[in-house]
Amino acid sequence: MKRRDFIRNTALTAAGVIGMPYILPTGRLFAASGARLVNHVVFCLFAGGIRNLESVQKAEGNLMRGLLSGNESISPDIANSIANLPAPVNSPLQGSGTLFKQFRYLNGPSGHYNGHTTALTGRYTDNSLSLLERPPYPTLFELYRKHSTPDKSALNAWWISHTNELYPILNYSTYPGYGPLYGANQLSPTTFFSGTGYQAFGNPLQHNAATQLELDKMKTFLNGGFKGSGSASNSGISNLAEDQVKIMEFMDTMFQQLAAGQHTNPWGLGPGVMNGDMRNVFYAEKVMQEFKPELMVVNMFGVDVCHNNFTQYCDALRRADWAVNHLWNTIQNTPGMANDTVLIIAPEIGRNGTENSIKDQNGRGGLDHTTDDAMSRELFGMILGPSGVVQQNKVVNTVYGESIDIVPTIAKVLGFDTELGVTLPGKYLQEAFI
Amino acid sequence: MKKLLSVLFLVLLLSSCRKEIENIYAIDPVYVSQSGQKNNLKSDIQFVSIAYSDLFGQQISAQELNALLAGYNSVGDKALVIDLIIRNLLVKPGIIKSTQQEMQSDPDAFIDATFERFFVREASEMERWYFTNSINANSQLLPEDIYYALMSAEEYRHY
Repeated sequence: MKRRDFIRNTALTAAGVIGMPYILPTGRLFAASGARLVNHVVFCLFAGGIRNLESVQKAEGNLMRGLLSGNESISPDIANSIANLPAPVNSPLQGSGTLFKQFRYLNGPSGHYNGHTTALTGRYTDNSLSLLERPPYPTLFELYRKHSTPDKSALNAWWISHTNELYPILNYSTYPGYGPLYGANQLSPTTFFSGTGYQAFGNPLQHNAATQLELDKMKTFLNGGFKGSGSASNSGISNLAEDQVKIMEFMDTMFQQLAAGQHTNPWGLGPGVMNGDMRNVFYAEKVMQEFKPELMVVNMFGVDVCHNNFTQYCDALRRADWAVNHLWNTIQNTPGMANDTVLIIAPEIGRNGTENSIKDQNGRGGLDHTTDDAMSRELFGMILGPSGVVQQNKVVNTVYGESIDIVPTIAKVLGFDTELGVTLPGKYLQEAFI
Repeated sequence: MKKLLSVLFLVLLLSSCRKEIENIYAIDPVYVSQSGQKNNLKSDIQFVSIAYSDLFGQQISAQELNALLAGYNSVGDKALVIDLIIRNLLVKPGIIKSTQQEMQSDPDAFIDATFERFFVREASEMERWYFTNSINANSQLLPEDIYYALMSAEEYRHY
């Protein structure tokens, strides 16, 4: 029996025996669905802080040939310091949707966590936002899971974060009535599926079906007799028993592929080209192919190197752009998601208009994002989708759209906007849709 | 005078050669009999550290602790990742465990020792009966399987 089948059989047997009939969070099993535009949304937070100057305004040439049309050559002083990438797998993505060139992050500190929180809650933040605490308002994931009909299990909502520090806690909020019951499956794959991760998690004790059944009976027996008043309150989000089996099976597959060297250079790029952003998107694609979630958010962060190296910022921007182009290609080649997915792309914040004192190898000054100036609030946005749903090859050059509009737009696309129990300050980005 | 000196010498001799009494203070292990006395949830670091100590009989190294916590923080479903941590620790070389033969030849002793080791309490009569029965009925069970059952139980998350 294959290892994968083995795990599935044993765990499913166990789940079938010990699993209580699952009552979905709101107690609803079937109810009228809201009108959906498509059945899947992927939101790519093109994060780390990107100025419009280097992205859609192409001040250094077209650094984003995966997203933007045009062959503007890269500034000669930095061109030789940038990795040689093959042509993107798809034609420029702006042809498959609507590009907002004057998107805005209008309020709140221009910090990464503030920008992420705003994009994922649909609300601007202020200086009271703690970096160590979960968002104070419901996240996109919770709104989707709590207000969709029929109810959605956690397997439908994924938060693929570039790091396992700080950002994982964006998978649910502290808002009363929401929380872990409606949170997303969070995964920081570049840490988990690593050499160290494999040593720690890649070779678990396994049991045959009969033994697993017996062990689960033992656990049920022990838990039944446990009278402690403490609760497993820090247990995070919880998947259905059968979904946990699927996730463990997925993890096992990833570890086996990792051990076999299949994740070393899976996109066939040059040695050392695949950076953290690309790897995060690669694993997001794996999650997508395996679970076909209705809602997935994946972020990138490499461009933040700009604090001390402008040239590497441009290089990271190109790699991130290449990765998003690949992501769209994978969506369109994944049965169940092709032609039924809206992809939304936006940075979380911009960067300062003026450079700092750190010069890179080409004499370019670094850029922070600390002054909350106008340039740090100017973003771009892109919405891609089927031609019958999303306006194709459209460019909105006027100031239109804000970070807080992404959550209500996703709510509308996935049809839970009419069931929201909370009022969101943002608006549906109608300009992008038919 | 000579008689007085003799008496004084005798008194000094007796008092100086008194056997010293050595007081030894020790604490006998006391095991709670009820799981209900564990009301506090272990923190993540406590859980991982204690699990390692219980299995290997030594403190986890900072490097290993960091590796496990890095994985723990990378997955949102904590019950799932804790199960993975336990399962992976149980196959690592160096864990202190009974042999299957020892377990099967004296299940009562094995159960008592295992409960004391992981739950820091005596097994109740009901628990002893249940596990002994299970071991006798399932010849394929290994000691680490029983360790897994106890370590993945809710009680093990508490102290």
